[in-house]
Amino acid sequence: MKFRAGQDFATGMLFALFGAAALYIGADYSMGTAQRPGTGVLPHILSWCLVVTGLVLILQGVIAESKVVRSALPTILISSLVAAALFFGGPVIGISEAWATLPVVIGCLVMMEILLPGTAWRPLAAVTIATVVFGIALDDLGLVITMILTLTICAAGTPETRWREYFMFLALMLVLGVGTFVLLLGMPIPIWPVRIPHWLFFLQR
Amino acid sequence: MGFEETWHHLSLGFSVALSMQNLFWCFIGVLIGTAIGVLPGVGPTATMALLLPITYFLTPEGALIMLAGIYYGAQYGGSTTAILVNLPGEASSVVTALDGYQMARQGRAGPALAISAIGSFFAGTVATCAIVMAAPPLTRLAQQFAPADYFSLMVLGLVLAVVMASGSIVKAIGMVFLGMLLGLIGTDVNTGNTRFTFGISDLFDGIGFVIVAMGLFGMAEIIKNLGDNERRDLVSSKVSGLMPTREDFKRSWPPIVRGTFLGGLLGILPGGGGVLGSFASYALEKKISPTPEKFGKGEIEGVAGPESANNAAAQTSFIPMLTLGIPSNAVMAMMIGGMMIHGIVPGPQVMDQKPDLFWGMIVSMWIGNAMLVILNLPLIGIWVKMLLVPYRLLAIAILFFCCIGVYSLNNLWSEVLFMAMFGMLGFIFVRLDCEPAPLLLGYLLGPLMEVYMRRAMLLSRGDALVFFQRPLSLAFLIIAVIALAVVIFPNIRKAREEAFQE
Repeated sequence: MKFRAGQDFATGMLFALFGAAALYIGADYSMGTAQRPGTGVLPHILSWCLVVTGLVLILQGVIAESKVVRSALPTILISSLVAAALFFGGPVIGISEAWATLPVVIGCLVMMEILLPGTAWRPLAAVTIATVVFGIALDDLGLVITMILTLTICAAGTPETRWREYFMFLALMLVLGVGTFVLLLGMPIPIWPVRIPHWLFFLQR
Repeated sequence: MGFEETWHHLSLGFSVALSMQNLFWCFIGVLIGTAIGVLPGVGPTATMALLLPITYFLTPEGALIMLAGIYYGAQYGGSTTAILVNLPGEASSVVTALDGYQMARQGRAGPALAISAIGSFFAGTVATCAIVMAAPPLTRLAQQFAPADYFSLMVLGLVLAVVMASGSIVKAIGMVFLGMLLGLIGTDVNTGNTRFTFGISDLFDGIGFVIVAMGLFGMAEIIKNLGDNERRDLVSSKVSGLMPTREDFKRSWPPIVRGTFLGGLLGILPGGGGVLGSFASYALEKKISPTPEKFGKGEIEGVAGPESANNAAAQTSFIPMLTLGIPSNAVMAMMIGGMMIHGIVPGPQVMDQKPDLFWGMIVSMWIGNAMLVILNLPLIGIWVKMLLVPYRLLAIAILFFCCIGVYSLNNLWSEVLFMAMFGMLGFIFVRLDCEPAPLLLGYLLGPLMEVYMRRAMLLSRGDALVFFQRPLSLAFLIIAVIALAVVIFPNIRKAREEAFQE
């Protein structure tokens, strides 16, 4: 495996971050008594286990190939500094400390590109955006428009798409989708747009 | 257990499985299963996740019969393309491609396909009998479990899932912890407090199992396959002369029998399933063959053994799920998800409370296997044509079904967004070489373990030693420790890695 050390390191970071976040969020969950274990017992145990597992993996990565890992250090440093500033400074200037997750997420994505080059960003972005659009559009815009949006965004995710073929396929999927799910299974979904969605507030008069 | 009792169970099973409705769902299941087995890049786990919301419209029997059909149907379909075009549709038919494709190139595709179908059918029949024999005593044993025993059994299940996972063990352990932690999201049933919900009301009931599974398996698979630049070249080879010769039969039946038993045993173990069975069987056949150097050049033993083994393992992996309510792999986790959609709590009580469901499903597996033999051999040409559907269109269709499937669960748009998050996470796991199956098992078992832990602690008045004082519980924990020690011990770990690489 070419990227083995980088993979171990990145996985370790991921586990440790999740564990630490869970520890922070779950800090005030009650522990109860031994006879009646409270809400916080299992979360605490699991969070610590996750953090330790993460640290082991980080160590494995560093020992196996410190050179690869060192290339990720600046990113880690910068993103954790920004995160710390937001975490401690945020409440002072009146924004939630939850914003600290943003630099962490960005840092993780940059780190992934450094440690494991060649990630398929285009399909990742297209499939994710297509799904999110489906979620926020369906209730307001109806199935037809939503399907056109979602399927087209997904098709844009790969350079292999042949657009003429795609539009014929889209027409087929529209008939199938509306026919099966709304007409046959009777799902309570509007077929056509019902209102201007609130996230398009600038269009509303 | 008397013969009469077995007969009673079987006749009940046949009466359920042979109803027109259930025969139809069984047929649909094996049909879909064969189709996705043929298509590389679409696995049974993702398909079952996709169809879980739809099973809501079915009767519980129909739903589970169909879901089971998808799983073993995929084992058949995977081998068809492995033999004909050297494209293993499923991981479990990778070894079939080694000798099967060589046989096809020598113009012996027909016998290879026929032997693989016959071997699979034999294995399926034997494994179904094994389930019928093993289920009642195991269920009776499970009914005597105390909460502490259940807790330890689940620990053992998770440990074995870690041990069997390919790749880094530390990563698999972390995935189990992460899965259990994610499983705790929502309201704590004992105290009524919410955990990790960030005040979002759609999270108070936790994130549905289907959502997690569709994201981790369905969406992540789409992203990964769209990013891969592998091209599918369709090499069409003509199938002529389906019947194997007498010589073929003579050489095939010992591997079929050996593969059936090896696969059947490995299938019961958590994390086992078809993949391990077929690999182990191929290794065994090669080792005991008088001409091991001919393997990989079209030996019929190399098709017969693994094909029987993967089907036997696919069947016997239902045993822990049916009797103990504990999923041994991601597919069984889907089956449990299917039960829960219909309000059935998986566990040893299912056999007594829902005998028609329990025995009907088991018998339907045997019927489904028979259908597959009939379905597959004459229709091979059609299945191979299916490979012509380009993945760029298939991916779009799958994504749409994922989206609308998740939305249909509760008509909540937020759940579609949760699925998008798990899709991203799943793709990151693919990049990091982390297997998602242990996470899914942890997700399912984590909350259950908490329930049993609390019950055990309450019964023992807060004495944590209860887990070591009950003999059953202690035995499970000791086995778990031994299993962990075995993989961490360097010599054996090396052998394990070699086995996975082969």
